[in-house]
Amino acid sequence: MTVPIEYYVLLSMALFCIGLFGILTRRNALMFLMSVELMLNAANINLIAFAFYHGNLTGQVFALFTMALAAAEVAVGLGIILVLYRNFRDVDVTVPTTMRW
Amino acid sequence: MAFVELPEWAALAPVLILAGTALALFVFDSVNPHSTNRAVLAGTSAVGSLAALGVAVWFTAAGVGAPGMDGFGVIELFDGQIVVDQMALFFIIVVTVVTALVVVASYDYMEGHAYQAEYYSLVMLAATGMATMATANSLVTIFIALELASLPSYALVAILKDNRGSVEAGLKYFLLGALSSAIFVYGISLVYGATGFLQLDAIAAELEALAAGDGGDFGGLLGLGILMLIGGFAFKTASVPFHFWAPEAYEGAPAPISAFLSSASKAAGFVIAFRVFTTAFPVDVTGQLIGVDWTLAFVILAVVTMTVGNFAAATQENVKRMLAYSSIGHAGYVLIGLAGLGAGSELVMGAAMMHLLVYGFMNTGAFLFVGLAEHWGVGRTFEDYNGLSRQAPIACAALAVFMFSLAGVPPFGGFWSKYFLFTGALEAGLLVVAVALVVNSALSLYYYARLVKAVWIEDPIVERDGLTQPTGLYAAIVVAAVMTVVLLPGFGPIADAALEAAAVVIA
Amino acid sequence: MTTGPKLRLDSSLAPGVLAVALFVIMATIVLNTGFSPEMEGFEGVDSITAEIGYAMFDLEALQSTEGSIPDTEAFLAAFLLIAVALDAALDASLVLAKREEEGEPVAALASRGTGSDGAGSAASGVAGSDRSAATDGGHEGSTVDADRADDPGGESR
Repeated sequence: MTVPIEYYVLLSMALFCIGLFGILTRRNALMFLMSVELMLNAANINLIAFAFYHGNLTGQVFALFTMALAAAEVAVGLGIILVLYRNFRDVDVTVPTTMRW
Repeated sequence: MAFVELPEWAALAPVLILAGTALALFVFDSVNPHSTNRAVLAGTSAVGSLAALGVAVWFTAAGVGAPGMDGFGVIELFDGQIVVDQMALFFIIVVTVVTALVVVASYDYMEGHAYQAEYYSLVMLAATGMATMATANSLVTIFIALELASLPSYALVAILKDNRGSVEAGLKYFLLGALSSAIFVYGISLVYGATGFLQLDAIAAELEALAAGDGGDFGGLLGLGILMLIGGFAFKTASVPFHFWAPEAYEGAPAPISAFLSSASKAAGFVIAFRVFTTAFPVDVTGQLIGVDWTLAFVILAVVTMTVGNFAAATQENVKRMLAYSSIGHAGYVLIGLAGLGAGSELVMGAAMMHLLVYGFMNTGAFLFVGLAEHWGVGRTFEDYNGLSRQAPIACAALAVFMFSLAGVPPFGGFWSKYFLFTGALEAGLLVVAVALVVNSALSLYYYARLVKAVWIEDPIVERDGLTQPTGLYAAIVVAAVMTVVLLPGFGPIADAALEAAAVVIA
Repeated sequence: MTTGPKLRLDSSLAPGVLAVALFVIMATIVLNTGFSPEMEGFEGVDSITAEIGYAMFDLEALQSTEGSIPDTEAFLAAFLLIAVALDAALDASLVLAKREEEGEPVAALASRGTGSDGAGSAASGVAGSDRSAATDGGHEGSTVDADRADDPGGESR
């Protein structure tokens, strides 16, 4: 007896929307990064659940690649946040307004 | 016909050359981290990108990826994860041309900067990613290539680490990039959920089966996935839902990087959009499943994007920002290529590809002129550019060529690609889009001509001393201008190549 | 005065409504999708981990044996590509994370106290001594002395 696929997808969609909410409301760049991670992991849940549903491993292997890329993205993101902090003494994404949005 | 029988993987040679150059620069940087030998670094990058360009042109001429008697057929590598066809080679040519121009111009622009080797290796890595995007044939390779192109770009935009504008631009580019790639992956996961495959051909085959009626009702899931994929493409091409980053990133970034992102990165974004939507989601089958024709989304996006871009550009005082908005407008023109796919003719998509090639020259040149102005330190607004032609007539003549070509004034390359787009849109029955194209082009003439007027007719506000003539920047600008003009008599073969490439992909 | 969590309704109301609305739309789509109640699953598979490995390196000969998983795609191209992508990430993050002092990049691992102590020249040998001085930190071991002896540039302070 397995859990139906719908529940996995609903879980991942909830996670995706929570991540989106975080992106829209958080002003701290680090929280922003964490919200993006939530969205990426929502996709991973989907991929793995669907891999089980379809009975092939494509989704599982791709989820591994997604994790590696998420780590790479965080590395670059933290670098940019570091430079941001050195220039503005803050990690609030609304502080840099040399140019308007 | 071939003199030597090359192994199949040799079809990837342009990409491999770019990757090899990038890694060689990376090694050079590790061995000799404080080297500021700009000549060697810029020279290596230029040689690498020109070699890749030469091989790609040679392959195109020799018929790699072309079907028929004297062609080698479409070459599939790694079980179809990578495919080399005419469209891939065409876009590799666009990317390598822009890369070569940008690295040559960077020789002067990045003078005195602390991170020379890193800069060039990042540019080459990003170029590798963009060239791979042109050949990727599975959502997996597309996503990884997209990230390979994006990650170095984030760092390149923020590379002027003491310049607040550059850092701010890098931050905004990164934040929107991370968001859009998260949405893109989620879209991939939904498409995988609906079909069970990630390779484009396999997705198309599965959709056929679904449309034929075996299997459940996956239309909604598939539609949501496609919508999210469009979000990812829109970021990379700076089209409407995700265009906010473009003016900021282009304004804050070093000018050669703005040129690189607005020309090469945009072309790479379009090639994956073309590939995914022609190969994986055939219009009729997908429309039958979702209930809506996805070209409708692109019709709306094209019209909105070109209108937003051009109207915003017309109100700018800052030249670089004006060019950034105009680059959004041009993304709207190219989107016509996808909007017109419903009619099943290759003319629209071929025209979009031509436009991207011409755009690669004229837009890169225009941004490099801004780079030249920044190198001189003359300021950023239209007024600051007043009367530059007295000190630098050659560069200003080149600027006039770029501006009129961007606006689509007859004798230049930009006119012909827009003309093909126009006729293609009419042929596909998209009257609204064709009208929007004409209206927007007319509007764009206003602000492009304004810059030309400032440079050639207005009197300078302040007296300037003589301006230096940095060799690299000048060479890149002049080459770009000459190519924009020379493309004209050479337009026949280019148009043929683009149309053929489009025909192969659509068929 | 309460220290419990409070519902902030001022600035985050609109994004909250948006996120919930999006979730409702997405959930509606999923619940209306005709998933078959049976998951295919991986019945009778010897080792999923091994299969992942075969898929990642295009070992089709092994993949298609008894008790394997059909229809898994090949990932060798993706594997090679991600190697380059991770290189790019390394390069990019190093460029961003390095500090400059007096216009010269300081080794990324150097600490503030001793890192800037070099002669300030552009030679790469000085950077090497910087790094070792920084990692050796407080204790004045023989390595630091040897390093100084090797590198006359470090003697200037």
